[in-house]
Amino acid sequence: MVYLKHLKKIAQNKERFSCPVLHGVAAALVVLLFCGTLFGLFLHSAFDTDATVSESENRTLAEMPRVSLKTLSDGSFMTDFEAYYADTFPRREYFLTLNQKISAIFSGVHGKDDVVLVAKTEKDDFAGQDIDYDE
Amino acid sequence: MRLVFSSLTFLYIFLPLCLVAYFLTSKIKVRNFILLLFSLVFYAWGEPKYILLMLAATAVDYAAGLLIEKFRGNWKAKLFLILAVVLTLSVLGVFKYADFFANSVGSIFHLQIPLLGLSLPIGISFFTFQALTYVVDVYRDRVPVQPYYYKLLLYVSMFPQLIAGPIVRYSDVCVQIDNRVCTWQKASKGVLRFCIGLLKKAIVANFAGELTEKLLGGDLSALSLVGAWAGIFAYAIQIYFDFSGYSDMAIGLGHIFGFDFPENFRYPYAAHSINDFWRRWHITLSSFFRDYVYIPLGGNRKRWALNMLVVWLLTGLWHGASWNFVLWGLYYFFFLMLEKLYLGKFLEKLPRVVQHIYAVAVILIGWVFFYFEDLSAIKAFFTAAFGGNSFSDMTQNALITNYVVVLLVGAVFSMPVLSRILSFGGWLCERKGGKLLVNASCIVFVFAALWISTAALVGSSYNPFLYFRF
Repeated sequence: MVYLKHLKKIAQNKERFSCPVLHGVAAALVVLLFCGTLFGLFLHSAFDTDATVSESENRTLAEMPRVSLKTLSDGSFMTDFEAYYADTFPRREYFLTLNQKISAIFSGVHGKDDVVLVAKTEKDDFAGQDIDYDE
Repeated sequence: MRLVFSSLTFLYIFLPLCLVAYFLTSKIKVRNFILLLFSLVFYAWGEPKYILLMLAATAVDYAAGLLIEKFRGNWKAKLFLILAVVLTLSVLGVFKYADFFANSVGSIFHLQIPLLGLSLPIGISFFTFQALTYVVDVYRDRVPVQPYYYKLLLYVSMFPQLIAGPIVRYSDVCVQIDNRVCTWQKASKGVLRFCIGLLKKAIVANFAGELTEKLLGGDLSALSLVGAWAGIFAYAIQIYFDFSGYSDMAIGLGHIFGFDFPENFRYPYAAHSINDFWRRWHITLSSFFRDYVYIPLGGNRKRWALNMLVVWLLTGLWHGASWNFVLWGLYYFFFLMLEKLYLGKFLEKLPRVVQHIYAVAVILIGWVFFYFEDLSAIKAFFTAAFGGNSFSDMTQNALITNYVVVLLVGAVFSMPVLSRILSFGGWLCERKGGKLLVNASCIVFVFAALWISTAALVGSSYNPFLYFRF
C-alpha cells in the first residue's frame, strides 16, 4: 500500500528514467566489477594463445590480419580484425554454448546439435528450427 | 565497418583501454586530450579517410564562431553564419543527398546525370547537426565562443554520441568540457544505464531483427496477413530497442566520463497520440528541428502549415536519402495536422486505451514506409497485410511461435515497466534492509547483463546455417 502511494506520486511526475542511486561502496563495486570484467577479458585475450581451428564448427578460425597502410586506409584491416577477435575470443566455446541457451529462449533455435532435417520444401531456410509438421 | 558499442572489439579492447587511460589522471586537460584521441581512433576505425571531412567541417564552424564573435552586431556576422551553415550543410548534401537528387531529377526529365557514387560517411547526419548547433547558438549569443579548436572537435567527435546520437547541443555540454566531476556514484549510474542499453541492443533488438528479416526480408507475395503484422510488429520492437539501447549506452558512457547528455526516448510506444509520440521518440532530433528550423521559419505564428510541411519533409529526408523516407515524413505530417485541426479534441474524449490503440496502429503502419525502401515492396506489403495473400501460413506461424518470447519481452519493456522497477528500487532503498537488496541486485544485474550480451555477441559471429558447409 505504501508503495502504491509512492507510485501515484511518480505518475504525477510523469514517467522518467529514474535509477536507484547507489552510494559509497556499492557504487564503487558496480563500477569496478564492470571495468574489471572488461579489462579482465581484454587481458585474457591479449595473452592467451589463439585457437586456429574450431572442432565444433568444423572450420578454421580467422587469423590476425596483416597491418599495412593499404589495409588500414581501405578499412579491410578493421573488418578482418573484428572477425579475428570474435573467432579467438577467450572461452569462446563456453560463450557459444551459453548463447545457444539464450537463443533457445528467445528464438526457439536450438543450435548446432538440434538441427532437424525436414523434407525439402520451397523455403528451406526454416530447417534448423523445430517446426511441427504434424498439424 | 563501424565500431559499434555492441561489438567485442569495442567492449573488450577499446573501452577498457579508454577507461584506464582516462582514469589514470585526474587533470581535466589530460582527460580531454585522451577522450579526443580515443574518439578520433573510434571514428577512424570505421572511416579511415572521411575522418578528414569531420575535421574540416569542425574547422569551418570553429572559424565561423570566432569571426561571428569578432563582427558581432555587424552584417558580417550574419554573412559568416550563412557561410558556415551553407558549408556544413553542403557536406551533408554532397555525401548524403547528391545522388538521390540526381537520380530523381534524372528520372523525371529522362536525363542521364552522372552520379558521384560516394559512400555515406558514418555519423555524418549527427555530427553536422551538432556542429551547426554550435555556430547558430554562437550567433544567437546563447553560448560563449570556443577559442580552442581541439575542444570544439572534442564536442563534435566525442565517441559516445558520435555515430548514433543523441544529438547533443553545444549548449548542453559547453560547461562540462572544462568543468565536470567524475564520482563513483555518477559512474555507477552510467554503468547501469550502459548495461541496460547493451541488453536492449544485443538481445531484444537482435532477436527481433532476426524475425523481421525472416518474415519481411523474403518473398512478399507469400506473406500471410498474420505474418505481415507480426513482421512489422517485430520491426517496431527492433528499431526501438536498437535505437534507444544505443542512446542508453551513449548516455551511460557519458555519465562514466562525467558528462550529462540529454535524454532521447521516453517510452514512445506508450504514446496516446501521434503528437505525443513525437515528444517521446528521438527527442533530440525533433527538438533540433523545432528550435533550428520550425521556430526560425515563423513557428505557428505565420505560415504554420507550410512550416510544418517543411519540417516533416526534412525529418523524413534526414532518416535517409530515399523517397520512402519522404513518404514516412509526410505520413506523420498528415496525422499531426489531422490531430491539430480535427482529431485531437475528439480523441481526448475517448478512453485512454482507445487513444493508445489508435497511436500504436498509426505508428506500426508508419514503420512500413520506414522499413521498405522500394515503393513496390510497400504496395506488396499492404496487399499481404490486408488479406490479399492468405490469412495465415503454417511455416510463418511456427516462426512467430519460436520468437514469441522476444515479442512479449519487447512489448512489455516498451511500456514504462523499467522505470517502475527502478523507482521501486529507489523506494526500497529508503526502507530497512532494502538498500542491501537493491545494491546486491544492481551488482548481479551488471554482471549478468554483460555476460549474457557477450555470449550473444560471440554467438552472432557463429554461422547457424552449418549444414551448408558440408
